[in-house]
Amino acid sequence: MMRIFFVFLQINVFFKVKNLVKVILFTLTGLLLFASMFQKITHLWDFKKLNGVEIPSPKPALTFQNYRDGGFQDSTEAFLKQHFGFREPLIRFYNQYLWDFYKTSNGNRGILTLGKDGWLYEPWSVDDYYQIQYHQHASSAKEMTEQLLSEAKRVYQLQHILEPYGTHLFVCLVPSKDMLYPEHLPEKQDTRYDDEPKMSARSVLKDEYKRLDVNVLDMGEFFQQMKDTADFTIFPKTGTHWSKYSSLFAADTLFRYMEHLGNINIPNMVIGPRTLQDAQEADTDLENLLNLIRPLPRPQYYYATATSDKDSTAVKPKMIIIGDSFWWNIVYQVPIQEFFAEFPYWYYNSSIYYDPIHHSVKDINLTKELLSADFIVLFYSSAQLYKLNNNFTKKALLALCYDPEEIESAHAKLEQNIRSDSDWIGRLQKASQAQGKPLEELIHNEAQWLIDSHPERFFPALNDSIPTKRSKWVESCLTKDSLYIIEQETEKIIANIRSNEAQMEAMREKAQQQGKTLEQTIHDDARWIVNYQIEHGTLQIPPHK
Amino acid sequence: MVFSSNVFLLYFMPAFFLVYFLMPRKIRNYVLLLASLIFYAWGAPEFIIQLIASTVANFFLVKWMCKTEKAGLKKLLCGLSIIIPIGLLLFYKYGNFTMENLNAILGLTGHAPLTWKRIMLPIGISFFSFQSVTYTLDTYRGVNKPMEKLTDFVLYITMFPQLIAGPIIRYCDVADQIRSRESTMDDRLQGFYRFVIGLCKKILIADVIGAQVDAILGPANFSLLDADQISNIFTKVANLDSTTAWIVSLAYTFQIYFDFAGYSDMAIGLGRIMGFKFPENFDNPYTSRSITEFWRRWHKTLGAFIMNYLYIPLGGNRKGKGRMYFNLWVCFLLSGLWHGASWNFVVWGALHGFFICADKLFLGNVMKKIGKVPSVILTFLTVNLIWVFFRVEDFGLAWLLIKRMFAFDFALLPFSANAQLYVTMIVADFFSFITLTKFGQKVEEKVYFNDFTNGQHIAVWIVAAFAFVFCVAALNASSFSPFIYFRF
Repeated sequence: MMRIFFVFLQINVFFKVKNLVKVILFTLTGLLLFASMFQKITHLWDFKKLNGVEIPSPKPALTFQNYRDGGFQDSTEAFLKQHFGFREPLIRFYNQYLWDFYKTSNGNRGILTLGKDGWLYEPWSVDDYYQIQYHQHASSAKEMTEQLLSEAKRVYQLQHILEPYGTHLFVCLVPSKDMLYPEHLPEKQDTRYDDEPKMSARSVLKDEYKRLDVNVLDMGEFFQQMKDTADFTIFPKTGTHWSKYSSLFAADTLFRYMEHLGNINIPNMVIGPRTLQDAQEADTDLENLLNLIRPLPRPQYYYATATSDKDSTAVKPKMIIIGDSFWWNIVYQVPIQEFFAEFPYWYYNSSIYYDPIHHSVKDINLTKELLSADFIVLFYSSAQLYKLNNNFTKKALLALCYDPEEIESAHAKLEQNIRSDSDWIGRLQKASQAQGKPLEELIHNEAQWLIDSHPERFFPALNDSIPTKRSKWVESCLTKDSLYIIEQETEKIIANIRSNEAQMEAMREKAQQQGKTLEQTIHDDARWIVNYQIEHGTLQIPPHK
Repeated sequence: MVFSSNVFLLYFMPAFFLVYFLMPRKIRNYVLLLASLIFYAWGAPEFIIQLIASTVANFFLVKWMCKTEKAGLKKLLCGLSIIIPIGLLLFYKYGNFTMENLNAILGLTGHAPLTWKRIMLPIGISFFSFQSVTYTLDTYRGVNKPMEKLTDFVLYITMFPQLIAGPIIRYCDVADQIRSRESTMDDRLQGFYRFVIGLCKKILIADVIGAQVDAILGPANFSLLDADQISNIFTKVANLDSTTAWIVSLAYTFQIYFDFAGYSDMAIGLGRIMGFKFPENFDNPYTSRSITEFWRRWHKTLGAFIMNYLYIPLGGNRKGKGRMYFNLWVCFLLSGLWHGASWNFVVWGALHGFFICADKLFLGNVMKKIGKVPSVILTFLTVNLIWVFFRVEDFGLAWLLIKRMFAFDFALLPFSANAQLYVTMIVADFFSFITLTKFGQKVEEKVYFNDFTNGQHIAVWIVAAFAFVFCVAALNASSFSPFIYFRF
């Protein structure tokens, strides 16, 4: 102690006592400024990760071009916003301040809206209730309505095209929180669109589906009836999806509807005894986004487990779910494999989950997948209906009715049109310079975008009430039996490849070159061989009746 | 690079000060020069070479000007030395504006428009071109000797604390400090406090209010918007009740002040940490009793520049009253145009020029007679109305907003609907007008200009450190909007 005292005394004398405090404060200032950098490098303290998903900003690579046009600087700023020391506690600290003082969240319009009695909603849910959400997707209510009516027609066409192949396509209208619990919504604050017409995608689609006789399971109606008698909350107070407990009823209803539609016997769901527990993470997903230091008080909700009744006479069909995040609560709660042989989940018609081979919709043979399924469910909640099934119906119709060569030819013709239009090509040249992308890539993308957006303009058969044209592949073979033969043959070829080390080595190389996984490369190769065999008649499959 | 960014606050600034203070005094100017060039090269990579080239050319031209005995050549070199920075300013800042107006005239007369590639405005050009002019003219007038070292001159022009948004530092005010300066511990600490005050003004007040103003009025420049987006903004403004219209205009009035004054505070603070004493740029402008007084308190270094290098050379008030009014108008029109290359800024400048002339004619006396508080309120409201033309480039929209303000259909808005905005505006209001009281003046004097005791240093440092952390948190939290899951 004495030694420390003398050292301290010497320092004091050195800085003439008077300046010591200022020297210490200045040193502390330096430490304060370096604290974030220090934490970033050393990761000395571990902090609870922030909840939610954000689009990652990758670390930019410095090139002369991206430095000159400022892209490097912008990307660096964005990257550093996501990667600096003490990010998590600082963001939580500010969020807590906003919540305590203003009962609001961060972000532009906020990532959530506080309703009455502490209920939380996503802003789109509020917009959906006030029927102004279409403004995010179209320039007018009329334009949005026209788009929705076209989409309903495509669903109708698909349903009828797929039916003869034993594939039942139907729409499951998932309710959103505002629909079942409008009584907790905040007072209307957004007056921006007061003078504009109001419209709801759900209403427009529901009416049109009814008129066209499209298969629809209205889960909203089901839960609305249940709400008055149920002794549990269907949507949790601080969550945006249906509660985990409600999702069991949603799943059971869905499975029973499939039984009815396909006239088959799917295993029955057995819901175990329920218990009252503190709310689980999935039921507080909106609160989690607040990223507060002090969590809000946890409410208590019912939870239960579900299994199948193991009915040996029941069948396990193949189901494809194309939809939004409401499916997650079902798939986390219900052992789906006990009810379905295959159940790939095409999340927003983009990423694929619960498929051992494919991870992206881009990589699949769409025709084969559609025809091999027993059920295809368009599973979107109200607010996502404005996104028109994320282009699924357009792509599916095209794949079922036109050959890849025909699509390629239309694409090439469109590219030619773009090249011969001086204004069009001029605009793309400018964009090419501005974005630093090759002109050819932009022309290709532009043509693809046009085909994706308005396939009926380039492929006239799609304008028919129910297109009679079929692609060669569909026309030539496909029944469920033929698909079974194809699958068997594919599996055989895959087994052959696996047993041959030389072929496996070639597959590894190919996978690396094409940036695919080994599994996917093997599968794609096997499928190519099968297609070749079908085309050349070496693999006989029963024709479609 | 802007001060209110992670790159600056968490990387550039700490690294710079560490290197700066570790170096011997003789080397520090070089460190500052290098840092300033990096700072500028980050934000305007296309322009850095031209900035250096024009600065070097100016340095040698002025040196030559001082050496030569021939009066004619002296004048020529002086003119050339002014033309280079002003020429760059005219080209980069007013090139697009000139072409747009020329094409509008050609269109009206039935001629085909001229095509040109839009010119990107290099950041800070309005400030460093003026500083370059002060160097040439102060040296020409014999106020100061020319810089001996080229690096010192480049440093004067490019010094990063004031490069982007001022204050406009006259050469004569800083020449000696560049050559030799002392940075005491008090300077360093008070510089840090001042920097944090500026950061708070910018992030906690201006940015919070600005987000709400932008949500209603859209971006200041409509050139990047399509017809539908512009039409939506018009519809939104046309539907405003008078309460909201006033809130929007008042919010912008506070936003522009706290943004600009915050930036000046940060520049002054950073300078002070290194021992520079930059001139003050704002002196509670919203407590002014007339527009004339407002201009003595608002952007003081620009006012001084215009006075010294434009108003007086034009003849000032020495050539009769008529000429004086004309000179004032010209000064304010040009001042408006200096703030931005579009007609709304000219109108903004012209309106200020009008009120300055009115002050000289009769309004100044009226304001004196009605008493302090009414005159402050009237001046503030006038400034507030004129700011509308500064903020909104489209005259139709500006006029629409003003009409909504005076439509007298006031609505009672629930406080909870936008509590953060209202609280922030109350805070802005408090700090804008507190110096009207003696207590406020004392507090300001103490915080900004007096030395602290050790105890006061400790207390203020704790507050400043907390405020710094809070600003970094706000800066990053406001852009963090995660999704529950990815959406496509």
